[in-house]
Amino acid sequence: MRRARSERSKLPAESENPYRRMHRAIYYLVVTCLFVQVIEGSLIVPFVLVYFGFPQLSLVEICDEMYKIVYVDDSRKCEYPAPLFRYEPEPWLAPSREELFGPVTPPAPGFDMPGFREVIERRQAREARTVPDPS
Amino acid sequence: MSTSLTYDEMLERSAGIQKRADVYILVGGGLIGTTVFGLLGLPFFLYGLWQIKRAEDEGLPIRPFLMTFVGALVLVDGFLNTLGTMIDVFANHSLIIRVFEMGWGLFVDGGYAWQFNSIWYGGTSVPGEKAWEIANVFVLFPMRVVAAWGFLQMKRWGYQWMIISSWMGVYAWVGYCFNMTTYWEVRFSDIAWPVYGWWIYNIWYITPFIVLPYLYTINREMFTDD
Repeated sequence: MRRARSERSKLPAESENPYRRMHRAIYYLVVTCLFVQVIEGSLIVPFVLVYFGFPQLSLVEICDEMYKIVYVDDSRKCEYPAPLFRYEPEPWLAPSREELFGPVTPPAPGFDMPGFREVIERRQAREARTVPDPS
Repeated sequence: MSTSLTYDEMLERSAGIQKRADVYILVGGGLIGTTVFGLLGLPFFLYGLWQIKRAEDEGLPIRPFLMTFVGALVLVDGFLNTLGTMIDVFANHSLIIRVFEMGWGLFVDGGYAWQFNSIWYGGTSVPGEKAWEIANVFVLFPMRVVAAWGFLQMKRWGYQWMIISSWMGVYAWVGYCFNMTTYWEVRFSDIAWPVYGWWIYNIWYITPFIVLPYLYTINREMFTDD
C-alpha cells in the first residue's frame, strides 16, 4: 500500500484533487475542533465540580452554595431532591429577587388598541383638539 | 498480512472494521455529548478512531481520514448541542445538572446562572434562550447527528443532509449570537470570564463554516444512492 500511494502521487497534476490545499487546511481545522470539543465535552463537568470544591464539598453542598451565589441571597437553599410530582414550581418556594435582578418576564405593554378603522376618529378628534387659535 | 487476502476478503474485512469503528465513535460521541458521562465516552471514541487508523496502517481500503474526522466532528457537535441543551429543557432540576449549568454559567455565560429555574419551564431564564434551545433540540441538532451518521455510512442522503443541516447551522449561529449579544448585560456581567471566555469555549462549534467548503468540493458520486 505504501508503494501504491507513492505511485499515485506520480500521476499527472490534473488527476489529483484540485482542492488538495484547501482540504489540507480543513483537515487541520476539523481535527483541532474535534479535539477541543471532545476534551471540553468530557472534562467540563469535572472541572466545574473541582472548581466549586468537590470532593471536599458534596454535590448538594455545592448546589446550595451556588444558589446563594446566583441569587445573591444567603438564605436561598438548594432543594434536594427536587420532587418530581408534588408540583409547586420552584419560583414559588422563595421570595422573588426581581427588585435586584429586574423582571424575569417582561411587563404587559398596556396598549389602547383601536378597533377597525377607529384610528381615523382618533386622528380627527386629536386634530380638533389641537386646532390653532384663528386670531 | 493483507497480501494473503483476496480483494473481496479485503473489502469485506475493511467494511467490517469500519462499521465496528463507527459504532464506537457513535457511542463515544453520544456519551461525550451528555457532558455528564463525558469521561466515560472518551475511551470509546478514541478506540473507534484508533481502529480506523489501524485498518489504514494495515493497508485496507477505508474511508479517507478527513471524511471520518468531518463525520465525527459533526456527530460530536450535534450530540453535545442536542444533549447539552436538552438537559436544560428537561433535566433542569436534577442535582448534577443544576450544579453544572449554574457553574458553567458563572464561568462564561451568566444567562445560565441569572435567575436560574425562575420561570415555570425551569432552566435558563434569559430572554430568547429557551426558544433557541427548543428549535435546536427538536430540529437542528438531532438532524445533524443523523446526517453525520448517514455521511459516515457514505449514504447519499447523509451527504445531502450534511449540507442542509450545515446551512441551518449557519442560520442558528447568526440568530443565536445576535440574541445573546442583545441581552449581554444579563449574560456577560459579573461572571468569571465574560465574552472572551464564551468565545474561547464556543468557537470550536463553528463546524458548519468549516465543513461546508469541504462538502462542496468532494465528489458526490462517492456516496451510494440507497
